[in-house]
Amino acid sequence: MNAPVKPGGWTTAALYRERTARWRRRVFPYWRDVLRSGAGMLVLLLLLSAGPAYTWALEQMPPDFPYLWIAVPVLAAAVYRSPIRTHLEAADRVFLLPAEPRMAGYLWSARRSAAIRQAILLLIALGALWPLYLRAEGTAAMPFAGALVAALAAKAAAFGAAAAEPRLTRPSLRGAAALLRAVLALHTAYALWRFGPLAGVTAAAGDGAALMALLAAWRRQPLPWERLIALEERQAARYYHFLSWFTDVPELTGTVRKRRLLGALTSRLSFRPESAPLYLYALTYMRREPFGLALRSTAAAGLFILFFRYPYAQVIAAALALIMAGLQASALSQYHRYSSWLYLYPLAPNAPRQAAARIAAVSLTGQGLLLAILLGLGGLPWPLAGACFCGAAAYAAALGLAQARRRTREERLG
Amino acid sequence: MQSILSVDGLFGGYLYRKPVIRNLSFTVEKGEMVGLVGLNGAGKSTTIKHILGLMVPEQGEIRVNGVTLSEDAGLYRSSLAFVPESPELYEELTIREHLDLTARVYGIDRQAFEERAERLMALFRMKEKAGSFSRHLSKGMRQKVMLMNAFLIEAPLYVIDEPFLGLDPLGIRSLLELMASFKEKGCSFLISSHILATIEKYCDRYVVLERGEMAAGGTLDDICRQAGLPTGASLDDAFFRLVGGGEGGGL
Repeated sequence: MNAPVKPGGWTTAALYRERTARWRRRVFPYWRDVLRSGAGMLVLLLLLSAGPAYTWALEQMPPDFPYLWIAVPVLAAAVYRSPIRTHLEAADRVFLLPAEPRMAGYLWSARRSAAIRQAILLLIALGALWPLYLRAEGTAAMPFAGALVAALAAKAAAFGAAAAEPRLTRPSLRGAAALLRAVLALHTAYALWRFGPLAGVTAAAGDGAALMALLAAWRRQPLPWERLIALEERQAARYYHFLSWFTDVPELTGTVRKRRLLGALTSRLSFRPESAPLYLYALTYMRREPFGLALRSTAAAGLFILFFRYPYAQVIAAALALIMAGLQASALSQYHRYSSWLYLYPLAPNAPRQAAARIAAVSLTGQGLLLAILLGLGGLPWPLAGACFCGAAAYAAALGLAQARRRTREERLG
Repeated sequence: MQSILSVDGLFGGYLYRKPVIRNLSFTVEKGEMVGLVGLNGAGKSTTIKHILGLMVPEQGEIRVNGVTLSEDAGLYRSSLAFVPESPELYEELTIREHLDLTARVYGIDRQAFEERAERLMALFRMKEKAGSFSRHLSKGMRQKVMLMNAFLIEAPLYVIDEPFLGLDPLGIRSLLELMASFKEKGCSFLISSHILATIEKYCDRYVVLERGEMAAGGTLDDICRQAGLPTGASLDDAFFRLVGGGEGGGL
């Protein structure tokens, strides 16, 4: 049976436009809350102070500063990351499935929208790196236009591969394709910064053609509904998660990681009703995004601290990792907020929130300790590293206090 | 003797002064199984939400184990176990961790938890799935997890909304056996279900709801009498006579 066609030329591309508009309407109130929370002012302040700070850092930069260690991963990340919002929904498996032969227009619209957004982000990343590159290379620097063309070529290759990946039937092949895409991004970024635009374009074209040929040879599914819907859910969850740093987001969901070994640690918690919320939130923290981000940010900051023996840069890297993890951890209390079980359990009403705040504080203090040790090992005098740990502990306490104040305000408002 | 659940003159709903439930009164005694039956939209789920304390009555009183929610929230909540119609599980927890959490919440000691959890997982054939996350389970398996968590507690009162939904025949059999054994121990049940032929075999009394009001109540004989049917008629026939004989009653 053919899918019904509305009079007036209903197309799947029009449906995509309707859905993007609906998504914007759905998140608009959250952005309004974000701006009201003072985050807009903070971002503006950060942007205003980032310019002079960047200029100052460039002036302090020694001539032999290994800028490639920053320029290559940053550009490679901008090239590699190629999310495509399809706005597909679970119900589409029933209602849009009959229209599968006409879904090309829908997916084309999704890809075009994502490509434009990512090209703009790439331009911003390249623009941000450009002063660093100019400072390091001086008169030997390539023209910006050439670098932009090479970066866009790399982006096009990575984007094409990312769009084709969900169609691969085997998970191992999808993993391999993503890994090869990362190699493509790193290779072209290195070729561009090290040897110039021609080398960058050549690397992008060569790697891209090889990757696309591989993808074409592997077994594919015409339209992988289940995977596209799961991907869309994950991306929407990430978006909501970001918003949850600043405001309450009831739709908050996201990916759950198994992390069985870490999960087993919770069995050490005492077997009493008082420990139940702690047990729940400890498992939630370990298996949700906040812990993943804390791990990634600590690992990235740790590598930076150990390889870059510039004290200011080391402390800034540690502080950034801690701030990012802190923002994520403070959103922990948002999980299960709308679960009726927490209301039905015979527990004190504020016990779940207290447990979430306690886990966030312990995790941040632990991360602070680890970063302080890494700073010490990275050459920072140990008393200074100790001071950094004290700063981290104070930050954890301040976040806990802010959460407690928010809780009191909410309880007062009922 | 004190009823384990008493609903007295309950008026309540989603909009103030527009109650979905009107003047509903019934009790569930110790060791009794009561069936809450009615058509879609009759007010069964709204009644259950009021009993759980998820909704506040506009008028009337609900007592569980002799106390209202406002008098002693701890005793009220620890006296009842609930199984919802749609399984609601934490995505971050495995099946075993759900049981672990429930045991902690209700203050069950570790040894008793281990014994009960093993027994329940064997009964519902879920041992192999103990380490699985809820996202990877079928709807029937998720429902089994809800049931295992409820029966882990051994609560005085069980409120179960559509217990058989999604369960396979063996799961239904296990649940019925479990309910019968808990009933023998003195536990009470309030069961909302559309599978009248099954609950007819197990329930002691029934509350028939129609458009938020009690259309009939009592034992099967009482219901039949109120429906104008002879003693010995089935619950299905009595129910059809009470609420289904009017509009839209046939093809």
